[in-house]
Amino acid sequence: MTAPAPAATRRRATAPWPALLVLAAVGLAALLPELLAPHDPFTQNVTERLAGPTATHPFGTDELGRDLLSRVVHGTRATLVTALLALAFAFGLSLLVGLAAGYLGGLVDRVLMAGVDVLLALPSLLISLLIVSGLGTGPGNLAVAVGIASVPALARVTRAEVLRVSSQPFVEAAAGFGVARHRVLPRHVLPHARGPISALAALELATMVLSVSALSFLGYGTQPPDPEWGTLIAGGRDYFATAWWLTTLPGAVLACVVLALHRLGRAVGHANEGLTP
Amino acid sequence: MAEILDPTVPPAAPARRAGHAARRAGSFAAVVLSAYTLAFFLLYALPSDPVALMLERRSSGAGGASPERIAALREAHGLDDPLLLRYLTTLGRLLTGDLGTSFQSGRPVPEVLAAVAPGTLSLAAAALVIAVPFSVALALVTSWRSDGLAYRLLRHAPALIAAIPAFWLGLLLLRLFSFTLGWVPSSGGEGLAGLVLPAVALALPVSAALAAVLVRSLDDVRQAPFVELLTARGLPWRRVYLAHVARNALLPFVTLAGLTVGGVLVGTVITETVFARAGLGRLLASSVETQDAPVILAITVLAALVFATVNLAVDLLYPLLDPRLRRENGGAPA
Repeated sequence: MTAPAPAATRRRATAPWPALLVLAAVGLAALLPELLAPHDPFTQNVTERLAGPTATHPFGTDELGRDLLSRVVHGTRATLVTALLALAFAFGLSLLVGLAAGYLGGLVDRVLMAGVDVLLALPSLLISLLIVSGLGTGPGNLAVAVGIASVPALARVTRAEVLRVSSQPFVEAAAGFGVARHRVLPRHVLPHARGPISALAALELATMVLSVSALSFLGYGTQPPDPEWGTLIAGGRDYFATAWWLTTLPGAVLACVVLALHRLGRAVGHANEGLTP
Repeated sequence: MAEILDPTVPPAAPARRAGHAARRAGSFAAVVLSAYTLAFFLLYALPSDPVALMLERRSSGAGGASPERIAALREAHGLDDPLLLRYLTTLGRLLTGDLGTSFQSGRPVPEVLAAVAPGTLSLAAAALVIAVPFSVALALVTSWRSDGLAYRLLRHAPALIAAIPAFWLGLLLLRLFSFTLGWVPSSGGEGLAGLVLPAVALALPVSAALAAVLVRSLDDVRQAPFVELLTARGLPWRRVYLAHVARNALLPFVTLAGLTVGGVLVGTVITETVFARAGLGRLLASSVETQDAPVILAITVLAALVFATVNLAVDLLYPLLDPRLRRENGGAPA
């Protein structure tokens, strides 16, 4: 037997076109749903209740005869905006925690990281559920719940990144030249930590789309009749035995979007090198 | 460091080990206490009013409750006491095993939990029994050769499985195996047949995470110098891989035990909802909706206890599995 081959040769990174195409469509659906949706998402049609996929209704119709594809397209915004809000919230907070811990060090670092470690020991879904039960349901509260749940992991990465960059010679040089401490962080440390953190953002957004739709599926987010991906899938459960498309097709769209975000995150990570997701 | 390496200095191993165990016990208590604290303040300090919500649910359409009734209920549940006092009294009660009364059903919380716990335990156990061998097998096949066909085909399988929404995966399995093929009952199946599908749905996302870590670990170990040495000495790759690479790579796997058990337990929230099974996960989901704070608090503390126990057990067992940690110099090359 021959010697084990060395690590898989790194292929040259190419732009992930299929993923970008999917994400462009998602972006369009979130910004201008009227452009992509073939019908109105709320118009009921009693003669076409629970009809399977056809040319006029590619995703079929629901129990009130509403066009499912249009509801999925119009539901994009609810899912995506909640996930993006959660992402912004998580990044803001974890940047604050991670920067403070990594840059100030000492007691601040130890206290913050002890808190982070304790939170890391609890599954994020449990933390989200606790926050939802405290704040109440609804898309806004859901965004906070999902965002906070991923702060511990993100804060750890941010801190590690700050520590890595802070020990670079040019940061030490900046301090040596007498650049004020409060200027070193934003001007010298932060820009260099941006690459790995942006790769993480795409992966994190994928996780958040999953969490938001899962919690909406449980009934804590957007309420019917407003469309949202998780809510749509939950609604389709009542007609599960007869109308497979009501749960299967919105779920397939959701899975595609999550995969596309994963792919994008990996591509950004490769482009930046260093960070392996 | 020098004194530790110096063979003439008698090792202070027992004291160090005792210190390690004490530290671990301390972090065990910290995790459980923090989970309780977090849950308590999220549930009781935030603006939503559990009593108003409970009355609204109980008397839907009955014209609402009188202010006196609300006041009486608040009094009965101790909701008017200062927050910090309630924090301490609730903690004291928890320590003596008093978990309180469910807002929603009015029954003692232990009774409510005990009624549904067996379903969750069997589901979680079945999922673990599926997830662990499956993830190990998947990782071993994937990582057999870094340039092999299996590696190229299966390398992204864990990420692919992880991208599938867990609730949707459960629904797909239900659709395929219950409705289309008719192999297993769609819901309410109590025996083994009813357990298989939910257990698989619960196990798949967990095994994806496990397999991803294991593949990375196998890839790392395969590049270690000792692997090259063994191969150079003419040991067949099958032996090198299974007896040496896999054995070393499986070690980090053990540290994932807490994460795995946690993932399985919290995953029951989704799985039990999808498969309409009674259990702690579904109880938690419905309690969140009705803001049944005592039940949520009890489940959170229970979950934290389980994770902390598993992590503690792993930490204490790890030196038994890794001889380098047993040696007094803490793993420095001999």
